[in-house]
Amino acid sequence: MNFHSNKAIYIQIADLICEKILSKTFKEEERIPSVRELAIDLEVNPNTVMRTYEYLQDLHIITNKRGVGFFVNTYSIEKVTAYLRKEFMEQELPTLFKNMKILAVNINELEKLYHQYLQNNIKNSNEKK
Amino acid sequence: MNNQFSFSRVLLLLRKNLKENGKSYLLMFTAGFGIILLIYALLIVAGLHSMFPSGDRKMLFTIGLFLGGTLFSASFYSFFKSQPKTIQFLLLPATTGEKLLIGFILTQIVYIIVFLISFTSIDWFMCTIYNEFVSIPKWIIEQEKHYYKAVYLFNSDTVLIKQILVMYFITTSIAHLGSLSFINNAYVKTVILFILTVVTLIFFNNKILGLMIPEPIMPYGKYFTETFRIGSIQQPTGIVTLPKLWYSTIVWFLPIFIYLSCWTMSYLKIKEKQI
Amino acid sequence: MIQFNNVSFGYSKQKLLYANINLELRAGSVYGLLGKNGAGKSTLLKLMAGLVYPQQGKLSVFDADPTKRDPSFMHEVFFIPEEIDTPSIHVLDFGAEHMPFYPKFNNDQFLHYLKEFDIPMTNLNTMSFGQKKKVWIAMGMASNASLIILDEPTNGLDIPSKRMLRKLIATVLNEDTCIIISTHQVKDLDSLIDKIILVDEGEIIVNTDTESITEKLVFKLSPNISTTDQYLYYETSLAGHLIVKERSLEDEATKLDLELFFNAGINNKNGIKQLFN
Repeated sequence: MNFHSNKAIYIQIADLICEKILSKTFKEEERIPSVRELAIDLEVNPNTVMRTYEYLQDLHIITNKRGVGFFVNTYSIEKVTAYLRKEFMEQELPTLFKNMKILAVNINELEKLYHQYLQNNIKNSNEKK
Repeated sequence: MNNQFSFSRVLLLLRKNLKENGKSYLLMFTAGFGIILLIYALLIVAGLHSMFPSGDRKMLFTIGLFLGGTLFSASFYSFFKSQPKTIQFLLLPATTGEKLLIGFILTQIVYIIVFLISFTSIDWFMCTIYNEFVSIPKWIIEQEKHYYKAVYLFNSDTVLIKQILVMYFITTSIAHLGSLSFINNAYVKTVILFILTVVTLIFFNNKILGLMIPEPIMPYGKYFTETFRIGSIQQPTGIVTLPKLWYSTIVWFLPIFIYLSCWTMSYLKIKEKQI
Repeated sequence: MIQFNNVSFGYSKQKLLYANINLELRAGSVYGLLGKNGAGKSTLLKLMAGLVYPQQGKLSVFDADPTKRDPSFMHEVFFIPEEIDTPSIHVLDFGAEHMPFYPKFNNDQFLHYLKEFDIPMTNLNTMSFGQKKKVWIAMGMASNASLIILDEPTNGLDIPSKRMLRKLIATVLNEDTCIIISTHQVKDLDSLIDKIILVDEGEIIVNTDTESITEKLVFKLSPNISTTDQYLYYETSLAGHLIVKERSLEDEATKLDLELFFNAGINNKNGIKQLFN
């Protein structure tokens, strides 16, 4: 895995796991890879993964069942969404606003583009069906 | 795993050494064997109409034993040229004594056994050939015919086997120590150092004895031997002989002392080897 | 696990390379040993393995004295040098001849690692430098020694092998092992290193874990440099200024940029030392 963003690696791994939970690759109440499995897969230090798992435990997204492994909590999707939403609001939005200001992008312009995006999305998913 | 001497580890080390260097040992053996065989063949060709020279064979035996033995011992640690190999050798989990013992076994026991067996068999083989094919000139009288029979080198009583072996053990242990002390050109450096040491020893021995014993007593400034003369050379007034016990003790003590010092120093060299 | 107490060392008595260094290394981590060329990284590694002896001070490795070179010490240490030289024997014989000396050696692991590294089952003398190096690495990892020392392990390795090496290190690390890596190519292994030792001019500038570095410092690319901020170090290019500064409460934790940290440590020794010691 390439850790391109400037966030701490353990946070980037946490983000990755959250994405996997949202995309249902890791389902609720199912076991996720062990610390070592994930460390080998991502080629990182097991201690870093341990730190990620502790961090996610603090956010009540996963639980450690002793001797069995780490499991995704029930209702974790809500927690993950809340967590990622908070991250987006606090970190990505300010960057966006900054760029908007520099490039003089109007908020109405943005709104129009956003609606367009939503419509395309619905159309695409309808076509798929 | 304990830190005391372990015989099984010595066997493992020996196996490892033979596995890793077996090919070059075999090559060295073949070369040496071939050279001796070749010289013997030349001797036979030259000697079919005359006597089979035993002096040349003795020389060949001595030179082969010494040259081969010292070359082998002096190149035993030639891998010290390679830093990774040295690291691997030093960090291999075995005691220094066990590692040293491999050098001891191969240079002091295996080499000499292999050399003696191969030389004797070549000698035996060549003597048999000679005796089979020798054509004695017609004018040789009956009483002298026995000169035309090759005697196996080890049956002849003039080989100073005991002295040669003692010298072999001493020179090879010096060569082995040299191999540990010099990384490049260990052989040449050891030989030069050895000659320098011997010359210096002889020189100072002479000088010091000359100082201790006044001129009239020892007119020519002798160095250590068993006796020296008192009085002028024309009219000696007496001869001083070292006590028999002294002499025989020194004859034993000196080689053993040199031998043990060489191996103790080799041990310390490996023990203190840093890279 | 490894304890340096006022250790001094130099290849000659007059010129010391290290004077009175104190350093402690603990098990369960991957240590990255960083320093400029000739800063004495290899020497520090050799001291730990007992390949060179300290002139003064006390050095203990798992409560043993490395200079004694006891087998019980040495079978817990595996040293993989930067340059590799092997005897001309078959790779499996090479493993078989070493295996009995390491009580925890696992032959299945050795074969598995060789396979993962794509090593042909042939004589070592037909192998390239990189392949020989991988054989050593595989052997070192399969020895299950508690202390594995790698001097510039990624030198000579191709791209897939570097990846395998990272996976291997993640595989063998556990709470009883200590892996020490000296490297110039920090990018090859920076996701694995969790403790940093930075040496320069015979002193240990930093010995700390990456977590506390990211707690105390921020690394970022900034378009401009303000005159009011205190920077520990910065580099300027057309892309902007790469800055290292002390992290304040409002700063988000950033990813550790090892190269930048290295440069900061070398160029602003005192600033970095004050923060971490």
